[in-house]
Amino acid sequence: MTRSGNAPTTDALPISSSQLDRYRLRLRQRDRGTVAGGHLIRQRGQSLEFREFRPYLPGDDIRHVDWRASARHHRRDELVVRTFEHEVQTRVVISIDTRATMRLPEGASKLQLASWFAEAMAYIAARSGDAVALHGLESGRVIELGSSADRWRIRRALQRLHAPGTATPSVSLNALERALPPGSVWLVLTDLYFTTEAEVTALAARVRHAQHGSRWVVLVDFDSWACETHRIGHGLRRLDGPGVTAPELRVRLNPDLLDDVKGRIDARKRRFDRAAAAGGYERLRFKWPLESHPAPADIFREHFFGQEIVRRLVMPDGSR
Amino acid sequence: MTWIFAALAAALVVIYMARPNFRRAVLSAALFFQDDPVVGSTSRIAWSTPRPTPLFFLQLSVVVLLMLAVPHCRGAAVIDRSARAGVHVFFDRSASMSTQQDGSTRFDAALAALRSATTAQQSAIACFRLSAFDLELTTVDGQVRSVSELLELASRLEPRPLGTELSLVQRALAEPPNPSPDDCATNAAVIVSDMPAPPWMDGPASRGDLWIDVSQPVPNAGIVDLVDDRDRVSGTVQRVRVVVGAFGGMAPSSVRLNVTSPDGVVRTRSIETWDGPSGSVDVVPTLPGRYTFQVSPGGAYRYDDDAAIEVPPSGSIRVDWRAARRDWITRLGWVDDRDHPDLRVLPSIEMLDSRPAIVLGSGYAPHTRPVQPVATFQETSPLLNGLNLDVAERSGMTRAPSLPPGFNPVLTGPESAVWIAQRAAPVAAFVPGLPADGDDSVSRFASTVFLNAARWVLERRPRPALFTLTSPQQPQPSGTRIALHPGEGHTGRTPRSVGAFDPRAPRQVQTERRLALWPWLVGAAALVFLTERGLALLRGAV
Repeated sequence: MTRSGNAPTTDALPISSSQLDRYRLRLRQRDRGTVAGGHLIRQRGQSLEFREFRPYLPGDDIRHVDWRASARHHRRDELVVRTFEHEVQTRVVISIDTRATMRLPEGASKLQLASWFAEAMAYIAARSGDAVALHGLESGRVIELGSSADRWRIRRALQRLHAPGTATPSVSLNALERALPPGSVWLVLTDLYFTTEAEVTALAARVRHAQHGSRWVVLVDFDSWACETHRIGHGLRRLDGPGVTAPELRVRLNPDLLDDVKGRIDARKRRFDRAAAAGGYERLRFKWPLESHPAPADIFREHFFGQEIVRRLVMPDGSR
Repeated sequence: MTWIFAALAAALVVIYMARPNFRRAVLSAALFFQDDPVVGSTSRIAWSTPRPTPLFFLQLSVVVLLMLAVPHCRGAAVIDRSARAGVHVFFDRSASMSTQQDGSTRFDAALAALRSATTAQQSAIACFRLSAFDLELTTVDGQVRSVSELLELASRLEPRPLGTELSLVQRALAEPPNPSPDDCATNAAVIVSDMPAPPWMDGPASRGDLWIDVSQPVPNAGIVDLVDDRDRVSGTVQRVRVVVGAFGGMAPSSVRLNVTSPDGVVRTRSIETWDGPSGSVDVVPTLPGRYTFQVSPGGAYRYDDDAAIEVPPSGSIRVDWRAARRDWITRLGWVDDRDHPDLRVLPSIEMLDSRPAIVLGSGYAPHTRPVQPVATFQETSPLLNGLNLDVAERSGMTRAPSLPPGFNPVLTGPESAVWIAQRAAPVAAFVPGLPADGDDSVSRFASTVFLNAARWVLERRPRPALFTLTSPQQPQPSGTRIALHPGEGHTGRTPRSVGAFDPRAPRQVQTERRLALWPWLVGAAALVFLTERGLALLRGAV
């Protein structure tokens, strides 16, 4: 019994359990042994789980020929065999960035949406029978959830990770060594707004390294730039925010300056992509709309149900 | 003060331009702005147009409200400075202030007295108004800030050869002060003069102002007045009485009068009879022209030491005869002079102007007209002197035409017919006709009426003055323009000062009407200021 039926709170996941129940993790092998996107999660074999029909090849077990399907096959001289797959429990690690930059913008914080995404993915993965672990990117703490699809438990674990770090906020990846076994899926939820280039480089190196163990790394980029810059407008501003070391950061905001800064942020992300990509890396963008005060639930639903990459992560249950 | 607040408003705008209001903005990507070279400087100086923030407008409102309140506060400032008075100084600069006493002039003594009176009370005086008076009252400066400035301005004045009109000061003290907004609002007065304080200074209406009489009795002898005696009809100067005064201990017996006639002959006359401080000498001018008189010794006051008069030539009556019978000019011993006539004889009322004239009616017709009863007559009129009104009823006089305004009927007949009329100013008379040649009663009546009218008009015609007095328009003596203003040479008066100068004493102030608006403006400014501060506190922009 789960507690997913609890009444939603203000920061509750804006997708009901019944909606999530219709999804399962889409973690299929496409080309075993290949590089691009090939993460061997489910192995083909004998199991009760039907996988697909395919033409008969020499060496196939004759018992697997589906005679009825072969009769309907468009090539009369070709037999069709039924294949099955057996399920292997997949390890899903969700790293969530809880640094101060993720706690903005007010009212629709990146951390809020990241938490919702983590909760949804953890729930779906657990319901699929996969093992789930949450990892605080700032604290380095790993919380094992196992295959528990208890949304209350997931949320509590996320709340524990949300607690602000004690000392200097930075990326802590050491604990991931044991939490990310080969073949696992690693979701990194962050905005990549790191104070130093070294932190970016360290994370990119870790992501790249993870892919060597047939791990699929999906970095979810929470990008609220449009919303935040639209909210503060143009003109004379005294900027404040995480990581600002200048005593008073006084700027005259105008489109040119904003384009310039945005360009440098994007350049950093592109550098990260180049440094991190090793065949099993993809970046998913959660992009805030050009509104001063967008509804966070709308942002989440739009991306969760509309993004191509999300559809690659999850799929309606029963579809093939 | 208004300019100060205007400058403050301008400074506020400049400050907002130079120190613009950087609104705080929180941005998760703020750290990426640190690297931008455009914003590397942390200087607050960044010239820009003022940002229309509520704080800016509130601060500007405070300044504008105070700026509006300043003109209204001026009256209030007088009230608030009840301990600091505005003083109106009236400074005498008449001719007598040039009188020598104690080795200097009374003008110098007045300056010293003013310095003494004001310096001691300097801390209690907010400002001065300085006015000078003689025959006129003139404001020298409406806003004098200090005693030194006051004395500097007063010392630039000079005695003028004019008389003293104290009623000007009396009226100025009685009237409520109504200075211009830039003038000092006064509630005390100091009058510095060489005249004794008049009775109204310490009468019931007195405000307790200070009258400083700087005069000291000093010996002086001078001409007090010149009185001419002329023939009433011809205007011939028959005698000039020179009135001489001796004051302040001047021995009358020592006073002599030198009379210089037009031919240059100087005659020294002693004043044989004295009536109190004044005596007189009669001079009979035998020649037309300028006579000068000089008193010796002159004494401390110089403007009454000498005088000059112009005696016109004596001669026949000049007449502009426009009527018939011009032979009457010769028969009456007159001279025909159309340019400068003493009298005009006109046949028609339409020819009348402002010059002395006799207007003739249509004459007498005793034989053609019936007896006309006299309706009214003015018994006291000189025009009726020696007339027999019974003859008047038989004389056949005709009704006068419509007479201009100013004519009064002297003798009227039936149906309000005016027979004889007179006008006082400009002097003119209407008579029925010319004198008659006959010896009958009507002829004598006609001649008497005409000559009565001629005498009456000639006696009242303006005569050229023997001398004129200096005036504010022409203050300097020259020729027969002399400075014999009454009382100026009377140097023997007993000094009389009145009042004690106490600027701190509460006085009636006329500026209450200005007190209505400024407290509201200042209150509104304070309210806006508090609002602005509160708003700034909430926004963390203190």
